[in-house]
Amino acid sequence: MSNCPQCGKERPEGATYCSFCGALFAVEGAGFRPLQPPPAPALYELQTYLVHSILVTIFCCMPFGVVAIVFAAMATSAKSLGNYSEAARQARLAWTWVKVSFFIGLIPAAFWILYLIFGVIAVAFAAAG
Amino acid sequence: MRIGRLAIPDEDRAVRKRAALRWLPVVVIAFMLVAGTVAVRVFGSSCLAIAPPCPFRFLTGLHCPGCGSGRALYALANGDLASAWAMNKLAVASIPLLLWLAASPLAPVRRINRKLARFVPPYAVWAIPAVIVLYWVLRNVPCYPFTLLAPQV
Repeated sequence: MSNCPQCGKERPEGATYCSFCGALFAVEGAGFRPLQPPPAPALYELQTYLVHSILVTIFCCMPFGVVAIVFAAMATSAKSLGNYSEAARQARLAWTWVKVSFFIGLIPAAFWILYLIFGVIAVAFAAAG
Repeated sequence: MRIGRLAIPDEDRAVRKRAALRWLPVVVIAFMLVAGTVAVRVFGSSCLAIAPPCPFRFLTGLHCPGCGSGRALYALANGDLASAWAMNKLAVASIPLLLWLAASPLAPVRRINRKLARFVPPYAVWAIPAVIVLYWVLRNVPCYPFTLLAPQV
């Protein structure tokens, strides 16, 4: 015999919901799947973002990418040591820094495009008169 | 999915979404490579004139590890490996490694990697950031053998 986790009233054996407050109980084999997080993917499937961070450093010219590479390297070495939770934690940080360096890289590029557009307009005005 | 206060993980949908998302970057990068090559073939060197300059070089006057990689990719799109090598040696040298790492979820590559793992220690991956930082420093040294690492204009 246990109690309802919501209202604390008595919970009869085999009940799927509380007859006092209506809260649903997680009951195995009662038509509901047990409350469990989705199964973790296999270790080799863990993305460590090493490729992303190298790409963003060498081919997007962003020095912040080095930070992403350091986290990706930590994730990769934790992954090859079989430490899933540590690898996943460092991989999340690596992905954050890949995004940071990518989007910071877009800001100067946007200014450059504006500069080109104004340059074309200025040349067109100069040619016109 | 959520019934009342009971959260039910929708595992099948999450798994399917993950499998589909895995191929998205491959498709995007392949599209960018094809589009870039076509643009270089059609518009020629005017592609380089509109490419944004490196913000790090603009602010500091120094070369970053990626300086010259745009011109290197332009040269590669024209099939000119020698010019690409002159522009950014690390970028050209990293392409085979990047392709191998990107292919590593595939089963045959994974099998080879498992065999290699016996000879390669887990901390070997630190060679990548070490080489990049070393390259960053050395290509800014203004005397002879190191100037070869800077983009050769």
